[in-house]
Amino acid sequence: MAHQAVARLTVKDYKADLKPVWCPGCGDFGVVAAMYQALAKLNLDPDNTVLVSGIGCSSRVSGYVNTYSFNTIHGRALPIATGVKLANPGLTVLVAGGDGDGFAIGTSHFVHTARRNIDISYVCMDNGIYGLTKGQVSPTSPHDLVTKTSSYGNIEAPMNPVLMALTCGATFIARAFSGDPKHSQEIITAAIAHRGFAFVHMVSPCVTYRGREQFDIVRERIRALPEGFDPTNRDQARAVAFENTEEVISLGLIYREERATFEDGHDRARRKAQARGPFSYESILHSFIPDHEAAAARK
Amino acid sequence: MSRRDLVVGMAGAGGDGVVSAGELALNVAAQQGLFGMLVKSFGPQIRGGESSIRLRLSSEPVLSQGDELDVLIAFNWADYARFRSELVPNAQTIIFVDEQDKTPEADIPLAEPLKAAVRRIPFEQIAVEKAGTALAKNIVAVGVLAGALNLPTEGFVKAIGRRFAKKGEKVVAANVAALAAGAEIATQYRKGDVHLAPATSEPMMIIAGNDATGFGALAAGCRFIASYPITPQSEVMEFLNRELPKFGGTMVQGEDELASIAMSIGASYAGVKSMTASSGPGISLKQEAIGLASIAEIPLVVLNVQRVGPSTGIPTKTEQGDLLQGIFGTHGDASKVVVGTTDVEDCFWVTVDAFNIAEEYQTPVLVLSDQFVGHRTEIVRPFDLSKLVVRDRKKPTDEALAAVAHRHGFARFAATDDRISPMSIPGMAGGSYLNSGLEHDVVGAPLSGVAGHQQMTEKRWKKLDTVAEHYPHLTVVAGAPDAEIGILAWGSCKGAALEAVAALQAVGVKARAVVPRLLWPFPVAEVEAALAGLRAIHVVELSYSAQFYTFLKSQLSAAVAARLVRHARAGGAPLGVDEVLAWLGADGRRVAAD
Repeated sequence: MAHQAVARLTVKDYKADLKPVWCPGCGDFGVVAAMYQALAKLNLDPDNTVLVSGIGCSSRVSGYVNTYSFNTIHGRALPIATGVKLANPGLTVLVAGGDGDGFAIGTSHFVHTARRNIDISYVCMDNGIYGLTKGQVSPTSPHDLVTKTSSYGNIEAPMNPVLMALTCGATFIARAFSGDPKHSQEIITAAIAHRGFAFVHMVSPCVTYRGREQFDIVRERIRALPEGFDPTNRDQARAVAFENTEEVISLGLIYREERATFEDGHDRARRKAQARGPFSYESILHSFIPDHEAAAARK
Repeated sequence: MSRRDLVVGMAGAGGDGVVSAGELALNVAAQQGLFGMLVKSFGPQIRGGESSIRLRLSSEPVLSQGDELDVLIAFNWADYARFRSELVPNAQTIIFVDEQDKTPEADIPLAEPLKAAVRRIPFEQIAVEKAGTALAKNIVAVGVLAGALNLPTEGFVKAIGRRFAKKGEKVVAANVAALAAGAEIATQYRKGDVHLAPATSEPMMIIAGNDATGFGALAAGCRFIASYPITPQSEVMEFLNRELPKFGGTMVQGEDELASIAMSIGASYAGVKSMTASSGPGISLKQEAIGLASIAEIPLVVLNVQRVGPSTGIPTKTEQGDLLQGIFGTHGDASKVVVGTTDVEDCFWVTVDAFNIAEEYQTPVLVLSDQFVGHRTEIVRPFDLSKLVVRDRKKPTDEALAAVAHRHGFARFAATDDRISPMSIPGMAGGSYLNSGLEHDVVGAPLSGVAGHQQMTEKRWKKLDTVAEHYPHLTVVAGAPDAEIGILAWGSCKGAALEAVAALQAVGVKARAVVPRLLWPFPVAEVEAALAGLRAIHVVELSYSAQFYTFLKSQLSAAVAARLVRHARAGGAPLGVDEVLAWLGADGRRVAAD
């Protein structure tokens, strides 16, 4: 069927037939629901949208959305999405994954994708545990958490994804809670609309390995950013980023700035290169023939 | 004495200008219609360390680096000593050293009988006298070379004129004087003339293997490369960094090897011909993602410019130790194609083939090059671009897309006669689907059953059954059809194999060389046909564990495999022709004649 003239699309249009493998009550259901709504709100053409994910419970989301989607390998969703976007900057590119994918095995890619400010949106569903492998400690697990690989309590300090995003140069940083799909939808919508690398720290509890009470614990800690909070103010953003999420979890748009994108940079390089043209395969061949012009003249 | 080729070795300290002297001579030779090969070798210093060159010039295409040195120039013995195993003089070699070298005779790194034959030349003194700077001593050395070999100096004079044109007439004249003085002083040491008849009056091309690989990629339609710098590959990504933007393409220096291959996979998934390049250590890191390209059926070219391993090994030296990693390295039953480049021109054409195969079969294709091929510079005939054939991946027709029943329902992995499924590209209306590194069914949905996995694995392997048939030129055969002695080689050992065959033929021994450039899926029928009639098949390679021999044993039929003879050594230096002849049981060319 042709989707060329995209009429007003609804949530139904983005929902794939594949049945999620997630446990009943999983926070990720709220995230995918928010994604459908955000895509519908922006009326994005599914044929011009690509959803890339890595490996983990949350990364299964690529199977549940009716866009072009690519469930890749552990940790590499961001660079794969980078390749997609550079190949065709006209596409809307989303990345989804979890805390293990983004902040353990794929950490370096988060750092560099943020730095480059490529125009893609990254929703990281943070549950502080490895769910797909059935309950091991994660880089965002709280200190002292007992898991199958931290039998005597987590001896490591948790990573702070929001602070890291800020440090690495992400130009859109927000936090949402999967227990609040409406707010999550608003944040994801804004992230997709942002031109540049948008990072959404999505708090998405794992009921199976962190317990059903995790939703209540998060609800007790969440709070909206204060009245008059200015996301373009670095100092205010930094103060939020340094909050201890074991006590307070601020939700909302934490930081935003406008900066040239990675694609802009490549465009500029191409214009510079092409200004010296025109070029052909023959002209390159000739550049390897010493004194080519003189030789051609002799002929 | 009339020779059809000559071989020159030169070694010195950083700043002696050894490499630029070699490049100057190569440049002159190219303009005189000669063929040539320039092999550079450096010490471990990042900049300014000792360096050496081996330059071979000929009236015929140069196949190997050559064994016997006609001339050896050492600016000092201490620096030469680092390269003594690569630049071995014999009794016929004219040996020059700078007069200023004060090495005691006992410490001169030459065989005892050769020490008396050393000619001491005041390279530096002449440079200061004639050109006013010690920096010109490499120009004096080029003059010495021309004088000792009785090469016409006009070409050198012209080349110097071009090279120093920007610095003014005075500098040009000074350097020409330095060249002439070197030529004059060396005339007395001449041992017969070398007449290198020009092979052609057509302009020749000077190109390094890695540049040829980059050019091949570009010409094949590659418009995206993401790579991480690594010796001896970096020149490929540097070339494409310069050239791709001119053609609308993109080069990214990834944060690591993993990101680099991942970006390349993403770009190809989105419809742009893509590659990533590395060497052994980086290829090890890329293996997981190669498996993704295999199962997700994404066209991708992965270049491995092999170096000595394992681990960091010797980054600036050549070896053929990654053959089995290339073929079998990925976890799981990953289907893929592996090809090998054998010389500089091949770097261009085999890379073109690699892209065509990747596109035609929607598969990762590994290109195995190596340091010897990648870093050496050759004078070759300009590539005939009229022979360029470029293939593109099979895409769904508009009718097929219009017939897709619902979103996310495009059968990306549909069963077809040739097992190659039309590939939709993001942006194509109606083509959306789930691609996945998970085993999947025809629409990309995850599957975990035995029958489904069997069926999809078979699809990914059997689609490659026709590669050998579609790319028959990838098997190189040279020599006598009725030969009984055969040499079987791959990659950069081709040159020594072909030249050994020519040497044997020249003394009346019928021989044949067979060099498969398609290494996986191995073209068994083509190679066995090429080996027909051979009594002994000598397998020569630069792998201590004899990976090629081991691999051949597993592929060829028992009757053919029984005739294989194993000749293998660790890398570090390219295979020599004399070495091959010795391996064949002929103690060099003379005994082979008996």
